[in-house]
Parts: sequence; structure tokens; C-alpha cells
Amino acid sequence: MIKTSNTSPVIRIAHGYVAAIENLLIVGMLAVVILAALQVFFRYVLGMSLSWSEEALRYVMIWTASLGIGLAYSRGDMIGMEMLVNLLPRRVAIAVGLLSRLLILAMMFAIVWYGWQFAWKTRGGSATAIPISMFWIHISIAVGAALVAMHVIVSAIASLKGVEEQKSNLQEVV
Amino acid sequence: MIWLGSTFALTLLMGIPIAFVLGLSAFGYFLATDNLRFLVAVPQRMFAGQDSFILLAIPLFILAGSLMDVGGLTQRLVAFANALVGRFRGGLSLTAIWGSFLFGGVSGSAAADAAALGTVLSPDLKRQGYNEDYSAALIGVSSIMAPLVPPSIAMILYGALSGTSISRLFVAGIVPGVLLAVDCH
Repeated sequence: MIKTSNTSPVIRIAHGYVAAIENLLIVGMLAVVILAALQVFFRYVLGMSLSWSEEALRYVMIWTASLGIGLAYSRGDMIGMEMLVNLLPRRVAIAVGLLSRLLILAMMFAIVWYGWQFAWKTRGGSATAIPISMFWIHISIAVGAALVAMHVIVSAIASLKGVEEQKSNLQEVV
Repeated sequence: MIWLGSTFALTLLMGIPIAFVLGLSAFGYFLATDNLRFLVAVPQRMFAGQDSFILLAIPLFILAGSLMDVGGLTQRLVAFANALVGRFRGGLSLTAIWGSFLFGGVSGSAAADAAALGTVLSPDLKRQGYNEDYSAALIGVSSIMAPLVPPSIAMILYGALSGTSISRLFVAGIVPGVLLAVDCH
């Protein structure tokens, strides 16, 4: 992480957000490893399986993935075919980039909206082995899409501000 | 179908990440056929797609791969491969191929294989006078063994989606993996 001593509040909030997400992802991955090891121990050593571990593992994984996709987008970890775009002149490439971000944004807003409805309609149901409303599991889809939307907006702003500034700006944070 | 295909091709060529391309082509189809009400099902299908215990193997494989990388296993595998074939003519290229084969046996992803071996081997390759293009091509080509040699992330995905036995897929990968390594050799 980059030290944040005398920077603008926006940058500081962005740093805090990235640190929070990274820590949450580490905790999620750690929880997956510990839960899986625990289940192996209970099943093969003590001979009494945990009834809830499989479900908990799945839901922790889904939440971890949902929280991570935004960051993965900004870091360019998602595979795309950029050969053609790289051949275009820079201005056209920026325009194409903006258009594609708008498309992603539209899709993400739709997913946030319908994801919210999906979670809200299923709030009455409870998970099978864990006494928790399915709302808290299903809302991960909407949260993930909202995070992606946020990252897409930030990267659109960064690309508008130009490549030189982008290096020393928000883009560097993530 | 035309709408689905053309949105897919167009968004793919625009450089949008594949994950979004797949979603956008479905959206394009719904929009073109005036079926936007089906969007209600999208979050539910997204959730159902992720809600699979088998898929948990993928993050755990990646974690295991990076743990081994950080723990120095990559260097040891390369040293082992070097001890096996390093004395032949063009030894370091052979080391890259067999190192890739061995690392494929622990990581299961071509990208991880290329990244790990690229960082370990490319300085050595350069020192021994191989040119950079050749080294990059060598590591790139040999890294495609990783998804064939079990365990393999691609096979887990295929097995999870199609209901094929993953252990059978793994066994099926062994012979082609070895053949490919021998072939590169």
C-alpha cells in the first residue's frame, strides 16, 4: 500500500476502501481454508461431520467473489480481447473505452436493481443449515454489481483525465 | 440468435472483459426481442451459478499455487528439472519444458504456470544467450501443459458444468500431458 500522509480526502477514502476490501478478501479466503480444514478434522478424526460447514463455505466463497470483482476490474485482472482496441488511434480508443464502460454500467445497474428485488423477495427464506435469512446471502449479487459500477465510473473518470494524470491519480490507488 | 451473436462479437472486439461480454450479449438479446422482463432471472441465475461446492476448488488451487510459489517450491521444481535434463544440449530450454510440466502438476492453470516459470527462468535464459522472443515463446508454449496435467482448473470447471467425473477427467489428462511434454522435448 502507498502511504497517505498529505493527500486529498478522496484519495484517502479510496485508500481506506481498497485496504478494507483487501482485508475482507483475506479474511474470506482464510475462513474458507479454516472451515474446510475443520470439516476434514471433524469428519475423519472425530467421526462426526459438521452439518453447516459445506453451506457456510459456499456462501463465504460467493461473498468473497462478489466483494473482489470490483477490484479485479480496476486492476485489469479480467480477461478481455484488447488486440483490436490497441491498434486504434488513442482518441478513438478512449471513446471506445468509454462506450464499453457505459455498456457495463448499464448492465451493472440492471443487476443491482434486479438483484435487490431478488434478495428482498427471498428475505423470508432461511438458509438450510445456518439460521440466517437468505436476504444476506442473495444481496451479495447486488453488492458485487454496485462495486463494479463504482470501479467502472472511477476508471472512466481516470481515462477522461488523460493518461499522464491517470498515473498519479485515483487509478494508482487500486 | 443473430442479435446474441452480433452483440457478443461487437462487445468482444471492443475489449470488454469476457465476463461482461457474456452478460451483455444476453442483455442485447433480451433488448432486441423485447423480453426485458427476463432480466428478473439474471441475479438468480448468477447466484445459482456460483453456488457450487466444486467451484471452491478453484480459489483453493490458486491459493495453493501462490503458497508454493512464495515458499520456494517453484525454484526447487526448476532445480529438479534441471538435474534431470539440464546436461543435454539446449539444456535450459528442456528445463523450462519439464519444469513447466512439473509445475503444471501442482498449479493447474496455464497463466499461473507461465507467470511462475517466467519469473524464475527468464533471467537464466537471458544469461545463457537465448534471445527474449525465443524464451517468451518457449515458456508460453510449455505453459499450456498445465491445464492438461492434473490437477487442472479448466477440467474442474468442465466437470462442474457438465456433471462429468472430475477424477476421470484428471486421469484422462495424464497421457496427453506427458505426450505434450515429450513432444516439446
